[in-house]
Amino acid sequence: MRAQPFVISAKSDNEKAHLAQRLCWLNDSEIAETRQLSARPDLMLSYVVRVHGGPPRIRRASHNANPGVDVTSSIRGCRIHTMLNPSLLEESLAVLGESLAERGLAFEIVAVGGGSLLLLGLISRPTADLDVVAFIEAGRYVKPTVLPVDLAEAARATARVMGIREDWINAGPAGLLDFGLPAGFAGRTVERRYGGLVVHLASRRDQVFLKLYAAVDQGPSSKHFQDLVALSPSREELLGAARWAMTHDPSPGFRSELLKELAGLGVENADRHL
Amino acid sequence: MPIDTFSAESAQRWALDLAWSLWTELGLSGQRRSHSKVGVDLEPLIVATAYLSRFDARLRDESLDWCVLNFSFVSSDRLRNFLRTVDESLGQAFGPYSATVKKARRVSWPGDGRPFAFSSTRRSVAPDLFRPALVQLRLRATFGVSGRAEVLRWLLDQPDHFVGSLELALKSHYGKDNVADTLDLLARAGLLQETVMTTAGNQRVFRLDRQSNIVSALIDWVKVPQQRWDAVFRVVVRLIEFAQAAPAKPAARAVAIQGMLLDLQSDLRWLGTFPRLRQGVDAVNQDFDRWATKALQNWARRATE
Repeated sequence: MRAQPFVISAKSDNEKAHLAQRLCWLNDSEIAETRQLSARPDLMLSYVVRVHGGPPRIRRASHNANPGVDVTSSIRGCRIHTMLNPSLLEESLAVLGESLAERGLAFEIVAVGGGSLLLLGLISRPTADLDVVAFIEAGRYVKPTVLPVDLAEAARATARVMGIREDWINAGPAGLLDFGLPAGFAGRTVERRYGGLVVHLASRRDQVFLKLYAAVDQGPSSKHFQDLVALSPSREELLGAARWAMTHDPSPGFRSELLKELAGLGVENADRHL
Repeated sequence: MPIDTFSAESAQRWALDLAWSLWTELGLSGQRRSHSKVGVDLEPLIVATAYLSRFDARLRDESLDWCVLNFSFVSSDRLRNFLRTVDESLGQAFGPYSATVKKARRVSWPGDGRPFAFSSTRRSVAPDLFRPALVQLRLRATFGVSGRAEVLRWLLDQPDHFVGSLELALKSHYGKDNVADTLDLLARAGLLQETVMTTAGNQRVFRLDRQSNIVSALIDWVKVPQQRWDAVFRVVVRLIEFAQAAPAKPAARAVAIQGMLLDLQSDLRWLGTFPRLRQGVDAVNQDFDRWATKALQNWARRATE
């Protein structure tokens, strides 16, 4: 059985796998991998933990009817959240959209990254969140420095219903708007409607562009590189993505790393074409 | 609709049972006294009654009758301060209720509105200050309707615990400066012991000094625990409003539940109850309804359990 991932958020590095063991009564041999996801602005550290032999059981949380980690438990300020797989992400968006519609609220967001790839069926790895790169207001893309209060509150309450992390919709990559999205991005997005929420998903081509840029930044062991491989981009797509990425970072150091990544993806002699 | 199911009707019914029982303790001619073993808190009860009486005209008339007769026990400052912590619906309901009392008596109660057509039922009696549940009124009769009486009530509730002025201000619904001054004076009068809580020495905390003869006497007055009725009524009214206007679709309802619980977090923490909700739309709805029903029942029946 495939290792089941889940997220642990803890206030210090010491908690991580130790916490997983405490909560799930796991032995060292049962834990396949612990990997830090990201350092949160609020000093919470998030880790992905993979466990051999299927979902671990949180034996302390007998209150929960579901087996495995489909539960949010809290011990000493730490929480375990279920990772978003395609069905959970779809369900969470449907719940959020329905609650917004019930309150007469409507939002249009533009999503990129792992969550949007999941929704498009282009990758299968679970993800922690849905990255919002822009809002659409009066037909124009607007940089979401923070989520609107109504949306943020509804998303937070939805997270509690679904047992996922409270910032599962966040404006993490909003900075991309400062340097511009790939030309024609808006026209290629895929629209999904969830009640009062409309999600515009970046197209496969644009995801290749964004993922290459992120993969250069974080290296070949990153999830971005893995996602890029899963997208099976063509040589031309990768070269187009590389040219766009260089508009965001024209430095020689970035170019050098970019060429390495491209070589790793099978694009030899890219230097001649950039 | 069965009474043990969470609904607008059952929530109203339990809330009315609670209000009637507390008012009966104060001297109204109610049918059931379920709260003789817990301290009554007058001002939150009055404000909540103004809201609840829309479901029960007799409760409105009888409680108004009591207020008009016993207005000197009621603190206008506490009414005002408590109203600052409640939802708009409670504040709006209090306006006409307050106006009715103000029409009959010269009191400086907060709130404005058109008075109800009111004539005394003459069934109210002066409260029996020796009832354990009415220690608040007994302290007011002794120390005046003031922050002093309220501070003492909460200190007497846990006579061996050190408490700071902020916590007492929250519990008593008097201003922090007022409470701090009161604590200072009571300590200088020899009724309280004082210490500091932090290494910086900036967190002054107080408790009753059992060596004081007055304190020994007062401790005998407080035979029942005090309850944060302000928190209870904020939660109860919110539950009624939710039951009346909850989204029809299960997913939206579940999200609304979690949103409401985030708002009520502080009150529920004080009250020592918080629903444990499983994940998923149906589970959240089911678990919340079960918790809300039980919580309302418990508050309404408290002293009989």
